[in-house]
Amino acid sequence: MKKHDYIVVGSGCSGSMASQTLVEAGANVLMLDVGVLPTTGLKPKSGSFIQNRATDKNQHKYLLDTDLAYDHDNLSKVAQATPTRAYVFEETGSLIPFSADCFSAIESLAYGGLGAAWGLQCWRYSDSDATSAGLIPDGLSSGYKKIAERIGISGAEDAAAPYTVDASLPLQEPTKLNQIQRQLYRSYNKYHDDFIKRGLYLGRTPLALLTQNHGSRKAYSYKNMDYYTDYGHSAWRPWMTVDELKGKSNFSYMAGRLVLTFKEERNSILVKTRNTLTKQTEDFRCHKLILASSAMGTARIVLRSADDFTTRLPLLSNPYTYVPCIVPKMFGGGSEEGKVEFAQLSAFIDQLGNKQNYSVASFYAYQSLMLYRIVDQLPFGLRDSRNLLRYLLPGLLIMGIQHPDSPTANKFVSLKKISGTASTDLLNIVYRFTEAEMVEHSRREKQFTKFARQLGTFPTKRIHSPNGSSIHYAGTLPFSEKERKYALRPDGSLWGHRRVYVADSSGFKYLPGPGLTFSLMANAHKVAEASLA
Amino acid sequence: MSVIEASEQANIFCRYLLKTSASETIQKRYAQVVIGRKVTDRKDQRALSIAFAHPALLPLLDSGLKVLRPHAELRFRASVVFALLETDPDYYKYFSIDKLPTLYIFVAAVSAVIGFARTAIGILFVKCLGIT
Repeated sequence: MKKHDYIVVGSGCSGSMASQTLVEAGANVLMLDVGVLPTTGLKPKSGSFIQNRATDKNQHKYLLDTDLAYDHDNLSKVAQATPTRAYVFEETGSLIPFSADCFSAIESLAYGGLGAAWGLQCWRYSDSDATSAGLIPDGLSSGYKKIAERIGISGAEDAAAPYTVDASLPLQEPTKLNQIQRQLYRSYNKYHDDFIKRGLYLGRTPLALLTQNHGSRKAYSYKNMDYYTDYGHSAWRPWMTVDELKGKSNFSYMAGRLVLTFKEERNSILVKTRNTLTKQTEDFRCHKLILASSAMGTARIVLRSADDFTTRLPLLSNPYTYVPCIVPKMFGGGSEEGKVEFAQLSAFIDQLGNKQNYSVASFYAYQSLMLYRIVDQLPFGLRDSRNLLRYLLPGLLIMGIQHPDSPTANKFVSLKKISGTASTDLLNIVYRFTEAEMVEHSRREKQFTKFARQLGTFPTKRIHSPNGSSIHYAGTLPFSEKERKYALRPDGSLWGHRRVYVADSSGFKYLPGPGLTFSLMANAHKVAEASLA
Repeated sequence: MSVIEASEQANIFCRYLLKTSASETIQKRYAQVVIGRKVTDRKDQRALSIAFAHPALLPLLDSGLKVLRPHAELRFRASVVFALLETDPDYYKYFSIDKLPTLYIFVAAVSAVIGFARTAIGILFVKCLGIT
């Protein structure tokens, strides 16, 4: 059996970044992944969203589904899960099952992991947030720079820059603003000083979306097909990095392997996997192991490796509230060619003005997700709703508020034995808010809806996404300076082991409001660097 | 349910939604979704039979059920046709988001008032029929 320098588990945002760091340093890396691939035959035409809608006879295949599987109840649960992206969430039910009474765990076994459907927001953590999460701010800062160089980030140095981008980050020009967001941005800048006095900031969201060519990847073409395809590879996806790594002689990728356990031996680590095709167990050996299969996936592997079916590990997840806002000035404005569906604007509330413990929300325009997904939001029958939505839609803006999350006794995962399925265990998830947390969420929502009103929009209702649907998970193996079972050293290595590292968000012991993806990639790079030392 | 019955249903829903008939493609796709679906709930069966026997009542049934029983089978089927029509270029003009004159706001306001009225009457109608 060949012994690799490193085995990296998972091809998502953290696995791809950790692997790139290791490969660039000359290490011999094997990536083990289930690697579910997109269904063939679902590729949209190369036109814009509006062109495709008007002409493509096969549009139902990627807008609806090839087999017209019409899941009325699940339409709004995961907006990203359009038919062409649905593969990102497939096969998890049988291979990595979970049980939960009030938590929608959304995991991925896809090639590129959840990053294949990521919203591309590259918010950095403030020093205070990074410290609370157990990360080292200085190290993270150099990590951000490295990741930005690799994936390419577009953004602007505007009023919100202290909350969004580090001054040292190489930034491409921001994308052109959609009409409705331009209207909002204009309203903010008109009373800019007043807003800042009150601790309210609005600025361009840094996005992992190219506005200039970057290597073989092309600048964004404004076709508004972002929920369906990755034209020109202008939106960064982890599989693009893995595809590039496959061309290196010191990197190999093995799909169809679900990592079950690891065992640290005297000179090597034995990694047990299940071949998802043959269902047979296969062993691999490495000198060092890097787990990067998401906070819940890594928790499964660590608990299973210890044969521990009793311990409860903490779980963090950003609660998410979305607020449809209407901008009457934009009603009847018609479809806009060249729209961007990613969040182009971010709002920050920092009433202490210390650029530390602030709250964040982002604004999305709604167009390419189709009327049939939102037609039920109006209190009318389908015919009346269609007529009205065609008029109202150009004036609809979605504000997504992300709440921070801290560990409590009511949020945990544990492994439970089961039989009769492809998996021999499942992750049991308990996740409940305390009264104080709910009060805090409500206070934050009120602040943001007030801010949105001051920007000239009319927030309608607050919709609380099911727990876990933010798809931001962390904290199962929290960082700890002191030796502790099921915890990580500050360099990302697992206490009790010498050569096992965790590069995903398992170590974050607090989950700040700004989305974690950019920070987890920066951390993955730092963990890989530490493992090389 | 036979293919012919499914095609008729698709036509009825299409006329309700867009005041036009369903193309063969839409009929075929609709049949693909609904053939084999078992309707066991008696209220659903009654709502469907009323709707197909008296298509003129569909606007009231849909509006009323939207409030009282949003997951009714009738609404599911109407939503399927809605989604199929929206993703067919032949019907694009009915779903495209066109630029409208500023004064269209009055048309929209009247549509909203009619929509509310239809929903209010629909609620009473659905309650009277006992299919809530």
